[in-house]
Amino acid sequence: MRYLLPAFVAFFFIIEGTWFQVFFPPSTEQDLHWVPRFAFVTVILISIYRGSRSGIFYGMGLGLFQDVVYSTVIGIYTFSYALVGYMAGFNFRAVQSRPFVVLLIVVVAVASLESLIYLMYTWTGIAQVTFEEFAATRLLPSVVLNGAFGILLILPLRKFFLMLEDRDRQQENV
Amino acid sequence: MPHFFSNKRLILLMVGIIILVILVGLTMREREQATIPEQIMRDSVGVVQSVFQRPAYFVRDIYDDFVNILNVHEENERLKGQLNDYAMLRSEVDGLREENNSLTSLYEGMESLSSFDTIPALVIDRQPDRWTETIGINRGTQHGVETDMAVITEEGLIGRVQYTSAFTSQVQLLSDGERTNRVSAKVSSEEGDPAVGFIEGWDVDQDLLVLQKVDSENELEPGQFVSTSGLGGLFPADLPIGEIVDVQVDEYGLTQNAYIEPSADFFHLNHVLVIERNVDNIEGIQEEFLQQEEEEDESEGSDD
Repeated sequence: MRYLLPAFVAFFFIIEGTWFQVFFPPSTEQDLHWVPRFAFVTVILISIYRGSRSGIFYGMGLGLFQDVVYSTVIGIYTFSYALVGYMAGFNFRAVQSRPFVVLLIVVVAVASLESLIYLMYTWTGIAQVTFEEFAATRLLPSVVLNGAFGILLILPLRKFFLMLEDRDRQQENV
Repeated sequence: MPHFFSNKRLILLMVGIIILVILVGLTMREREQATIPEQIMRDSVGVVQSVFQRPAYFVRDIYDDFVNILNVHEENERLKGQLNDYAMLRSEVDGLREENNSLTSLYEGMESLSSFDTIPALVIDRQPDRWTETIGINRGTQHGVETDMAVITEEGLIGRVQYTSAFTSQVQLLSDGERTNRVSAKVSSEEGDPAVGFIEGWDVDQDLLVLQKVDSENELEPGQFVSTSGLGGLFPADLPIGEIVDVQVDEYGLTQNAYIEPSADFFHLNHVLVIERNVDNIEGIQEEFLQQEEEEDESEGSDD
């Protein structure tokens, strides 16, 4: 049970680079870049339901793997996943019980992550596109895709988090 | 953002940014080899990725087969048309082969710049964020893969090996925009020497590769084929790259740029071949070349 949460994140991380690329391959015909951030969405949900401390740890771990496995420059994802994961930690009852507010936070987090990555890649000289182009071809599709994924994930994951909390409470009582 | 701007957190953020800048600065440059911890992480993730990827390709192949069956009639018509050219082409190839054999035997059995061995590999991942274009393959130093080796599909060149670890390697595709990502290429023409240039970068607007620094004396036309030149590095000669679709004189008017439609499909990669050039031959050819030059120099000297 304890290892289920990291396993979820790891599963989605693997999916992003493998299954998603096989079944929805990019093509020259479409200019939009549909970038999956499924593992990151899961980290944001963890941060909301388990607190920003969990958010920063999961974000940093995931970001490190993202950096090492998929890219050559280390630090960019580690930093931005950890930062956004921490900032999204609105772990209040009022937020947790309203799926629409949670979805809004997820969408804002994905948008700020994409912008942060874009800024850093521009500074390091890896990305050479204008902000308008970035907003149209990357930011918008990413928000739509990962928002849709968030809608699918929020309710089942919420149930799972509530179950985890119950367990924690029982253990404390014992 | 609970208590975000309290002192302790601000200091942590600063420390984070400093570590970020240091890490990025250290890893930004083109490194010869990834560090050991990186290699271990890549290898262990790579094992899981191969486990995920095999069934995915299986399902994808079934889907592609299904689509192919739907298109079979159209394809049949097209192939019938091509079959008419085949007989002619075949007799021509026979002639050329004979000629080639006789010429190679004259050349004292030396192998050419284009001889190589291949290492078949499975593509296990693709960079999802697409800011850089890289793929991972399930062959590493244990299987003989080395940095800067050429990677091809059946259709043509797709890229070079960027980093290797024991059981996996990372391949930088030709479409990656990094400045150091360049390949020496040639355009063969019917008469005269081939025009030589560099494949440098990817034109984002037109989705075409750009062949730069071709001498403007060479006449390039759309429809000509581009392949690797075999000059420099671990790339053998005559690996197909693509076909010219557009030619433009560059901004200074001294060289020209050609836009190339790549012959390989960079988006449906599952099986690739890593090319291991026969290094002994390169050295042999270089020695021979040097000897020839020396002889020429001597003969020129005696003329004076």
